[in-house]
This record gives sequence, structure tokens and C-alpha cells, in this order.
Amino acid sequence: MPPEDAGAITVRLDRLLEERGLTVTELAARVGVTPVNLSVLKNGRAKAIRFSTLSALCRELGCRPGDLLDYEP
Amino acid sequence: MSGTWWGRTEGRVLSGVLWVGLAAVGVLGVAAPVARIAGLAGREVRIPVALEEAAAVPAAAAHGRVALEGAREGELVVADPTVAERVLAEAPTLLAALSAVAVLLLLLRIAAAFRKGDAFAPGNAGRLAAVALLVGIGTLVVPPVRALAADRLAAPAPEVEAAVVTGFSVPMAPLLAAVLIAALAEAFRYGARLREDTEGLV
Repeated sequence: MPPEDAGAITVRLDRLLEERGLTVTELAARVGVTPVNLSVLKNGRAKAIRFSTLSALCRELGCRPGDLLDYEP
Repeated sequence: MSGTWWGRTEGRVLSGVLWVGLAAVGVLGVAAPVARIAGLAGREVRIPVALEEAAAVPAAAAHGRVALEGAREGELVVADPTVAERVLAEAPTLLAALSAVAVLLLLLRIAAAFRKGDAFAPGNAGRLAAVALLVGIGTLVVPPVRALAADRLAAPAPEVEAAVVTGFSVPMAPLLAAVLIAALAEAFRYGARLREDTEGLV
């Protein structure tokens, strides 16, 4: 499958932030990315995610990658 | 560009230098030759020529309107030149200057991308490739045009024609520069691909 078709990956950061009572700015500071970049991820505009970012998000949100990312065929 | 020594000031300096270069080439390389072709700058044309070593050239060989001044390198001087002779005499300078203007305009576009901190902006690789092509073509075309001009301008005076070297050689340094710029263009193409890959990376 060509990389352009990877749009079916959805990010559930919105829900996780709400459940943890965190804001984008707070989580961005903890993870070590800019709030702008985290918003890009939250709003589904990211084209790729670094393993280091994913690890830090899972660490700070106390979740697994599968809780954060979903795939809809 | 964070993490590099290149900043807005350096970008402005680069653009300033390029604009000064463009103005200088425009005045000296384009406007001045055009004025000479139009007959606004004197009643003679002069072009630098190499002289045959074996030829016993008098200090100032002359035949009618055409004269030769110098020993090994001299100036071919045509008095009261026709429009065609003026165009011939100025063609090498004009060709080189027009190439330089095109190169400088392309470099200004590249410098603008540098100023925005986006060296690998789409189009920069193509612009650099065009610069390499212009430098290469200019290097290959100007010497034969200069030789042709010398040959045609000296033709009416057999003594002068015999003393002028009408052959030409292609300088290697600009050709090497063209190859290096083409390699740089390829590196920019690769950089642009990497930029595209990392766009949207979190």
C-alpha cells in the first residue's frame, strides 16, 4: 500500500487528554514537543510520529500505543 | 534556521551582495554594450585579442579602418564600425552578461528561500540545476563567439587578420564550477525529498 494511503490512522489524543484532565500545553511540556506539533498530532494532521514521541506520550498518559492510535480500514 | 550560524542577517547580506552584482552586471555588461552598439559611446569598437607569437606585428599595425595595438595580447580596433560590426564586437560581452544576469536572478530566488530558513524549498534544486546549465553553456559558447567576432572584424585587413589568433580554448575552471553546481543541485534535490518526508513529522 503506498504511504499516501496511511490516512486511515486516527489519533485518540483528544479523548486521552480529556480523561487525564490535561491540556495540550501541559502534555507538550512533559513530552518535550512544541504545543503546535502536539496540536498537529491531536487534530489528525500529522503524517508521521517518532518512536521517541510515541514513547513519551505513552509514558506521560500511562497508556499503550494502541490506546493512542487506531486504524480504520 | 535554528541550530546553524546562518540567520536573517546573513541572508540579507547575501541578497544585498547579489543585488549589487546584478546592478554592476546590468550596467557594465548589458547597458554599456547596448550603448556601444547604438553608437552612443564613441566612433570605434575595441575587442581584446590574442596575437600570433610568430607574427612580426608592428607596434601599431593598421589597414584602412582596422588597426591592431599591442604585442602578445592586444586590442582590435575598428574605426567607424557598422551596426553589424558593433553587434559582433559586443556579442561575447552581452552573452556572458545576460547569462550572469539570469544566474544572479536565480540565486536571488534561492537567497530568498534561505532568508525564510527554507533552503530546501521546492524549486531550489531546479534553480541550481539551471545555474549549472547557464554556467556550462556560457563557458562553452562565449569563447567561440569571441573568436568568431575577432575573425570577422579582422577580416577586412589581411595583415591584422594574420596576426590575430582566431582559435579559442574553453576555460576549465568555469566548467568544473558548473559540474560542482550540478552536483550541489542534486544534493538539494535529495534535501527537498527529505524535507517532504519530514513534513508533518511529530
